Amino acid sequence: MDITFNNVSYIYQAKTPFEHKAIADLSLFIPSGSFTAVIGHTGSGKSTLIQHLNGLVRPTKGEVIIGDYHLTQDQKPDELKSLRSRVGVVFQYPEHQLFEETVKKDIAFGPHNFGVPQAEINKRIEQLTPVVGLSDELLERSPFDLSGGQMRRVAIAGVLATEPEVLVLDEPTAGLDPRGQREMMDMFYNLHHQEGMTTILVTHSMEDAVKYADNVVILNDGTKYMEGKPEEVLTQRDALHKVQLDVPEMVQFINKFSEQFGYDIPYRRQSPAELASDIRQILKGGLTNE
Amino acid sequence: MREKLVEFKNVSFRYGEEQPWVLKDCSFEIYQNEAAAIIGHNGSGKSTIAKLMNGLLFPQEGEIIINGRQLTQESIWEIRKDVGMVFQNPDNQFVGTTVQDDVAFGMENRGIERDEMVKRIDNTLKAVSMDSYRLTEPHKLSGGQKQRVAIASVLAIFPQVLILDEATAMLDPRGRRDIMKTVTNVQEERNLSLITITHDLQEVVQAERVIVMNNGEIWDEAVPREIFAKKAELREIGLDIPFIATLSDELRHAGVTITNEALSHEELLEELWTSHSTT
Amino acid sequence: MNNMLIIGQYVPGNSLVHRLDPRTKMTVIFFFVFIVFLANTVISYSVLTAFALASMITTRIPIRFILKGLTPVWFLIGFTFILHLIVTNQGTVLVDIFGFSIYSGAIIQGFAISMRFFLLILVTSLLTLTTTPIEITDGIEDMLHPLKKIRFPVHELALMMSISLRFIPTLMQETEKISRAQASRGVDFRTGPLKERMKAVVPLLVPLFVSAFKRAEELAMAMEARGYQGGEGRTKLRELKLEKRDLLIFLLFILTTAALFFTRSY
Repeated sequence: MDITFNNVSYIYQAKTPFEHKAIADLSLFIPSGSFTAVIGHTGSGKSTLIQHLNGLVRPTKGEVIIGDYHLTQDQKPDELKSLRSRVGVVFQYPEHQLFEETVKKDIAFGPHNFGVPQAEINKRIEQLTPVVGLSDELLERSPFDLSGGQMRRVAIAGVLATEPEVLVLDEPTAGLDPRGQREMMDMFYNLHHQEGMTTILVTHSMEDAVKYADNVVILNDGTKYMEGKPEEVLTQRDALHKVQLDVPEMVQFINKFSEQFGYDIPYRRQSPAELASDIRQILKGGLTNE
Repeated sequence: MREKLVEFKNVSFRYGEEQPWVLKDCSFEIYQNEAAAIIGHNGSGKSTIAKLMNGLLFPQEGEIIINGRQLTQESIWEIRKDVGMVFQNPDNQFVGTTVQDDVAFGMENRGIERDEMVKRIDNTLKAVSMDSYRLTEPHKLSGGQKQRVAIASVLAIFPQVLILDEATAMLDPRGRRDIMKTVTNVQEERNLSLITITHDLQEVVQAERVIVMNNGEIWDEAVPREIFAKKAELREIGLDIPFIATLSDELRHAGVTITNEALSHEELLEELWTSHSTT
Repeated sequence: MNNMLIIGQYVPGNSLVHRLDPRTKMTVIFFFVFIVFLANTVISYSVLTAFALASMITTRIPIRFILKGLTPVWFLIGFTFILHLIVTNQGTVLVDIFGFSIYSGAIIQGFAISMRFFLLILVTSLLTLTTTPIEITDGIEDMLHPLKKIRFPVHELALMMSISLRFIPTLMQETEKISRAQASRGVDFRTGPLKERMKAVVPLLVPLFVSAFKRAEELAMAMEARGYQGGEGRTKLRELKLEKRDLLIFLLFILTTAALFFTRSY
């Protein structure tokens, strides 16, 4: 499903002394099937943007179009539930939403609400557990007996079990250790490709954006600041510094390298190994020139 | 030789008789004015170490000595004056209804006179650049600001050791940067030992010494440069390697001579520059 | 719904009433509540009303705001008045409506009761309008201090109150977050039969309790780490101090009370 924001503004507690504009005249387009990273500081409007994606809020001004669903101030889709079954959201620290007696029941909660038959739910759970890295014997345990990392996987399985077409991830790796972070992002990346989902990743990590996304949106002060391919957007050091963001570490290194050595290395999201061979080429070439 | 401030002697800990050991036979020392980092995967026992250091938990085996005093049920209140702690969740350690009340909380507990409290609130809030928020309520602060208040409230007691137990884990990059700047300033000004428990490589690289935990045991203990030289092993126990260390390795694979273990961009560039101009 | 919240919601300010010691305010209001029941003549009512209105004006909070905050109370006052018109049958019959006789005594009685009601609500809401919850807590702690002799846990009670105040906004944010997450999982909190909606509360309450317990546990640990070991030997940053203005208000209140005693009938 394509996602379009047309001049969307959202104001909290309008017409009170506490009025606060969270999103201001935001327009953007997220193509179906893309892996889009949304980057911005706390307060840049990311969480309000997410809430528009499955109709938790409606724009104060402007229009949000998700597939065939239109959201404006006065019209809400009759089938909010069906929108929510097609747009899955993994909120920050999703393990806080667990409540059922067993892991299995908790995973089944979403699809059950959306009217998926029990037999189908069971089938999905069976397929999902290995994908999210849970073992079968955990299914009958209470989710509250699990470790933090396992609880997070249960919560994520609960969102995936509705088989959404759009998957929204709000800092899904916060609080995990480095290996847990890597495993989790790789899992989402694989799912994205296997299932052909549209994935929207809200993150602070430039490294993750560069590694996984094919489309980047930078938010600042509730509006779009930059948008484009990661290698184009995330290399603009000065523009990013203006909104207190940094370029990925590899780009920082390449910039310093070219300043000191006088050779430009084009950034094309290369791996450290590829960068190493770029550098070797230059060092060799430099040598033959002298 | 600097003086020992914290000493763990063969410490083991578990939550109950039937439970597995969380810490197994750990021995290490932390010195005055030292900046140490403790790293390890989630569940490796690093936070348990922090809680043992000020008597929030007691070991089943072994001895803990803080500032020359053995940690016992009787000595914990004295020891807690020496060991200040900032925890992970900014919300769950903010006790006061306003910033200044929160900084006062620890001092009130220790019966410090009101005039002295006011003075110290002034000083410590300035040290963490939060003096303009004195009367602000916690729900109007960002996570990073709350953590800075937490640091101020620890400093107000003049501790010898400041422990940051994943204090930046829930913050965004900007909040993280602010905390690190604050901590560095404070450590220079106040002759503190600093123990940072973290996953953040930036924080690890800045430490003088790193203790690596794995499954409840001390896996290694050395300066960051030596630690990050063991790249494959570190990855195996679930830890990350700084980008520069990874790149150095790849350069070696590609046939570029790299002799030193660079940890910063500048060091690696310097190394490349020398090898480039001399060959 | 919004109006309901306004009753007693603290409005920051720097007026005389704002700056009064919370103990002064609470004591005055406590006695005011008693003497309201002593008023029984037009003049004695006027004395009390004058005192209440003067306090209200002194707060410098817009009167419209205060009166609007009392909206739900207006209904109760009106209801009390009408009830008295119907039930009381003293004095002379003034009019007959649909077979109901309205007596002169009923009007007087209804007016008197409604007026008492109004004064009570107005004055107590002035307390919360001009005093932060934490000041009220401090005041209560101090005034309950003598109860410590009979082992009443005054300090613990006050600490509990102040921590609850501190965590109300946090828990409200938490509630909002969890209900968003569950709504995304297809829970419908707003529509559907009552039974379904009652059931929808479970996925909201369970996580809320779990997280509140976790917070409590972590908070207890953080407090212990910061040297908390009960009220024994503790000093306090928040100090309550009676100033000249507090004496002045006490004096004014005593004068008002005296005036009341002179103007009521026996």
